[in-house]
Amino acid sequence: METNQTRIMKYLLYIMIVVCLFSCKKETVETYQGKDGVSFFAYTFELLHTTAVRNYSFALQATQKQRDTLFIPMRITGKLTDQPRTVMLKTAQGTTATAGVDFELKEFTVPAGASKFDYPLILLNSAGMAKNVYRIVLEPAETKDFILGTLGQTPRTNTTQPEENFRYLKVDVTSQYIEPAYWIYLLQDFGEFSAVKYKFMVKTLGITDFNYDKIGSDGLLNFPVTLRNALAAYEAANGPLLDENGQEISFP
Amino acid sequence: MHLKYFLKLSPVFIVIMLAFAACKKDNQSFKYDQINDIKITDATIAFTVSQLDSLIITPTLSQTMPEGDSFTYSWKLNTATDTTTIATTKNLRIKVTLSPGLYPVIYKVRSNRNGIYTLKQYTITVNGAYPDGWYVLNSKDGKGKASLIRTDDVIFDNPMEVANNKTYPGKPLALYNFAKGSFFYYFTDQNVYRFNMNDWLELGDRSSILPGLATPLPFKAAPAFIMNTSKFEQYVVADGNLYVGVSGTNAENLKPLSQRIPGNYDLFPGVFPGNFNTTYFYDNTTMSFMEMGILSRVLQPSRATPSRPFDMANVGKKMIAYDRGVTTLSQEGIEWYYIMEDNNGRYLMSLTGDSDNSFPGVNQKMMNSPEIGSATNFATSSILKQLYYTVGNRVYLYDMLANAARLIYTFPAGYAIKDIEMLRSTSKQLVIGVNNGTAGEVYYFSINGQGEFTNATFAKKFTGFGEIIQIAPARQNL
Repeated sequence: METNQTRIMKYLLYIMIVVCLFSCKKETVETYQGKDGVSFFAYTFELLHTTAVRNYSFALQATQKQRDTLFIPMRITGKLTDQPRTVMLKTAQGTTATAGVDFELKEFTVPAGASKFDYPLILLNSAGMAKNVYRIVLEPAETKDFILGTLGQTPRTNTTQPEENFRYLKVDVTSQYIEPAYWIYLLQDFGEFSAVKYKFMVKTLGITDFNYDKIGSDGLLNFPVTLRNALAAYEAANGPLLDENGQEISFP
Repeated sequence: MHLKYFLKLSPVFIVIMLAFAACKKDNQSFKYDQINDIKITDATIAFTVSQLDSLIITPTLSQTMPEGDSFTYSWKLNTATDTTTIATTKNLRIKVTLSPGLYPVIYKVRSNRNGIYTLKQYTITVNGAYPDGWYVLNSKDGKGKASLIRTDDVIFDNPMEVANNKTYPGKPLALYNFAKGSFFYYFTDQNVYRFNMNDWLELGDRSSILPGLATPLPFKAAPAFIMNTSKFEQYVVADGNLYVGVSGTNAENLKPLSQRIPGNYDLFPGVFPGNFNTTYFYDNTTMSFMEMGILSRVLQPSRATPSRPFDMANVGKKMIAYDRGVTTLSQEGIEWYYIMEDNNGRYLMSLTGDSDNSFPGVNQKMMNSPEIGSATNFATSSILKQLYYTVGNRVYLYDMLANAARLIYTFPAGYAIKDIEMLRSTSKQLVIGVNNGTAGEVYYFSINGQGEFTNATFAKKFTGFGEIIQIAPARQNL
């Protein structure tokens, strides 16, 4: 004969055993779910997501061009795939350039497995550029593969520069002699930018790109010596060389 | 009745008992087997060898259970960029073809019985084939060459031509070694070359070294070369003109020298690095010092120092010669001695300095110094306030504090001293190149505590050179 008490105890024991069996359970790791994104990216010090503008001038190229490609670094957030995917950019508020006249935006296929890639922005040497600087404000457009990627900055470490994912990129394009963005690194050794000075540099040194990456510390220090000698020779024959603002050209 | 309950509940208790039995205390009692314990017992683990020489290392192995064990050996470089296996034998026996440098090498002995291995790191210092000694520029039968007296007294007559299998025409003018970058410049009147100081392979000539030379060749006088104190810039003064280039710290970083630095100047062929920032020059037309900062390409007059022993901006005397004095331990402050001249005679002057600035040190007319007015070679000590000068076949020792000189050595009649050099690292050896007609000889003199030659004679003598033009130190590159 079972009493109520023993019956309850028995069932309690069964329940406890069953509960014991379920007590340990493998914990699943939550993974990111959502559509993959794409954004511009740059080192934070480049200030491209805030104040800095990428600029391009058809006047500063080695040869006369009617169209050229400006490569824009972009980064994917989300999962990588073994399939090629398509990315598209669109213009945003602040754009003064005209699509199809000053530039072209085309769908770009990101290679399978890539997390970073360069989007090719086609720039067209339009008639209006001779007198104007046009601005193109770009942002990633939604495609079947991508939405706007996660934005933000990587933490600063001792070994790597912080990078940023950002939404809007400003590009200024013209065929005038405009001061290249890299000129701030030349200022101390080459002096203030002017169109006449730039043309004199191209003629004297035979190169058109004076970016530090190209000329190195050697060019940064020794090109001005060559330019000072060439300018002295020019001045001895022709008198002072004046820039477009009537200022006398000099190298520090 | 209790038994019945017990039987009904027994499966439950069994499960619970099993659950308790699942965990069991481990009493941690393991069984150990003895294995062969191998040790590499060498006390000598550092070896120095010259490039192209043989290196033999015979390690001593000790084993606790040698019976029946055999080993696999490997010798592997252990640098950040190179982990090549250089041998797989018990003893290392190789001809060294590594570039000069310091190489950690891991020796691994692995038991074939159980795969257990033991390691030992050796350090191998590889020196250049021609690492250290004295260059002797000389000319024989109208043909110039750079010979080398190596530290072990082996003489290489013309390693430049042997290493490169070509001739180097032109009259030799000067040779300057830059050990840290392991290269040297060789100036002839027709060209300038850069060589690797270790194997003497040519690294470039005027077209890549001085592409912007402003004056037509031949050079009218021997150019001067030196790196600045921080070893970032290189300076050449040739025929009064200054050329500057980025140096970096080894031959790969070297860039071509600039065009002539613009300006109205005519420099004495000498370059005088001061602190890390500033390098000094001397303009013999304005008779004043000039200077250039690091990362600058502007040559400017030095500031006026009227309250010092002399005014750098207005010295008013012609520079005749220079040599080094004391270098501070941090190498950031080099003392330079100058022999200057005006109508009243010759003067000893110096620039001394610290990490902030260089400023005039001594300025004294050289008195009681026989034949000083016609002296042609000068060398200063970096430890004593003493200077050696030569006239004809005679060597004089000038005491700066006493302001007097005395004759300390005379070569035989007919000998003419061409160049003297102090061994800068110790200031205990003076090297003298002498010409007897067109036959050149090199003498090493040991210097005693008073600055005189030990036993009043030379320590070593080397003959067989052509007419000597210059003696230059070849410094080890490590």
